[in-house]
Amino acid sequence: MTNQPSNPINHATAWGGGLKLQIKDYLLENTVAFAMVFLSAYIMIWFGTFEAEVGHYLYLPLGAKILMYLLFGYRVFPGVIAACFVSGVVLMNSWSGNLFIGMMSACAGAVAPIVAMCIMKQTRVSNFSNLGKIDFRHVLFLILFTSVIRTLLKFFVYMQDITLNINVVTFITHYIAGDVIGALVVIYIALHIITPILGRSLIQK
Amino acid sequence: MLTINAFIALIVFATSFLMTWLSGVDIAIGNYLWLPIGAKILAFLLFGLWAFPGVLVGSLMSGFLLYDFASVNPIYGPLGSLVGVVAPMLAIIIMRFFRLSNFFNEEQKVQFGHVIFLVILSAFINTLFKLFIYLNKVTHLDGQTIDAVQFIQSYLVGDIIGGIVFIYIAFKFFSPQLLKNKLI
Repeated sequence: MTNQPSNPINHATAWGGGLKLQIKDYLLENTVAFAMVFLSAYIMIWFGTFEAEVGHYLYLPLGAKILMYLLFGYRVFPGVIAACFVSGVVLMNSWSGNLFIGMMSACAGAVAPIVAMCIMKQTRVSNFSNLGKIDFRHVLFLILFTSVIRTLLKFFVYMQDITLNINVVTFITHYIAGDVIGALVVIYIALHIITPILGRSLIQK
Repeated sequence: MLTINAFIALIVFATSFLMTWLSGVDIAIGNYLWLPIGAKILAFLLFGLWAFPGVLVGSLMSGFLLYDFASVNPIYGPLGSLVGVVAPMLAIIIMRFFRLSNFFNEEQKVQFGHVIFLVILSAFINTLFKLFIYLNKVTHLDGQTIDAVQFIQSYLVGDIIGGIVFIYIAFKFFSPQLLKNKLI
């Protein structure tokens, strides 16, 4: 005998409750992803104005995106891309008027970690589905690989805008360096500062 | 080792020669099926760093004899060729450092997924480094400067497809020979 609810109404209620819980989790995870990516983008405005041609030498949002995908999986994509759009419109004045190009570059930024993770998973060099078993060096490589993919995607997008005066070498080197440093900083903060604090507070409770 | 290196140089040169049939000899734009990168990757995969002289000689030979580096650009042409040799080596080193590589499993069978990733990584390194070297230094045969977007797209796609095709063919048709010589 299988251990199923004998009453169909009870079964339906249990199924509906499970679905509700799943939706609640999904919304919560996407909200967390949105908040983290937006917060990291908000911190970026302290470092100066956004210039598409040069980029930042410490670009935190990429690290936040990678962290969110690692923690929750690809299902937080809506939260991540929404945060990219909102931060672009609100914090960067609609990418200084280049709304379409800006939105395309936001998409590139949200998609790049997924592309990198998918390539690594499909070629079986690493699997990020089990967070507990991830080799930290794989995460480091993921950061590097994602930054290269994101830089190239953004380069293709920005080259469509004839008003931008892009120096190819400067653009690529700045963006890769900024992404790698920024992502390392975010991952380091998450692992060595936030996780211990959360752990201590949970133990106290 | 000398015989092996001579053989590697010959294979690299032969694949480059094959490329000249498929397209022109313009190094300012990539070929959408670039087989020599596959030959270089496979050489490093099978023989390790010992394959370096053979790959280098094969690349330089094909550069000077087939692509006429001397007239295109005597400095940046050979430099680009050197990048093509170093890129697969660097990719293997990076994969080893980040503990991503395990090209052959315990039964000595090829882990094709890992090899594909090596090809992709080599293609990225090769494309970006060549772009940095060739940009503003090398021109098309008609004298026009390099279009970076076209350059990246064609080199990246060509290296990935060419690399996968060459290695697939090599393992598909020459597995018995490779096994017999204890190379895999």
